[in-house]
Amino acid sequence: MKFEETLQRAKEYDKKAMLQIVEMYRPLMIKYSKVHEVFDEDLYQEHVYTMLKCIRTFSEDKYTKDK
Amino acid sequence: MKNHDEELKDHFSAYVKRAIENNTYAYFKKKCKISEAEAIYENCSELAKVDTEDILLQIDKISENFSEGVIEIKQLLGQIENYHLFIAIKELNILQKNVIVLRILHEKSFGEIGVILRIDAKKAEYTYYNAIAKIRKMLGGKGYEI
Repeated sequence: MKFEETLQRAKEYDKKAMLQIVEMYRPLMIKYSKVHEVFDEDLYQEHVYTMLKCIRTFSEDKYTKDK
Repeated sequence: MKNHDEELKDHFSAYVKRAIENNTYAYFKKKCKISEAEAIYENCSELAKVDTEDILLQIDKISENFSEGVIEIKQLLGQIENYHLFIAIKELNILQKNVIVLRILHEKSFGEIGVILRIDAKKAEYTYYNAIAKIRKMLGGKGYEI
């Protein structure tokens, strides 16, 4: 499945698509959840929440308008 | 050359990365604020271990130096158990102390305070809120109650 399609489905609250995107960015979230090489669970949760917000707020048109 | 799908993914990745970086910054900022507030609280707890009689003697000594007006400042000070708060009130000017006593101890309205102290009601209100802000600042408040 194309990324565009996955993102569109995630925007429409498709759980499977949302999980797929969260899984895709898990390494990034883990990287930013480490404090002095120690994993911070609370920070990771905050990042997952931010990630879900990003799916909702990301505007595709904004980036394709200039093309 | 990248196709549309790859470009979109790159844009989304950059968007997510920026959001996560901002979120990390906000998280640590919040954590620092909480740590600061806890440190102030711990200092207050340590102070509580100081001999109570010494503090009472000190309070009595400071009370002697308070202005003697028509309003019973000592009565208010007698009710204050927090040493830091006591010191903060001591630092206020006479008008601010008087307004605080009338407002808190006697539960007067700003209009009544204005009449008693022969000042405008609005000035009484400003003086009161300025005094509260000053006390809060001296107690180290930054949006956190201690």
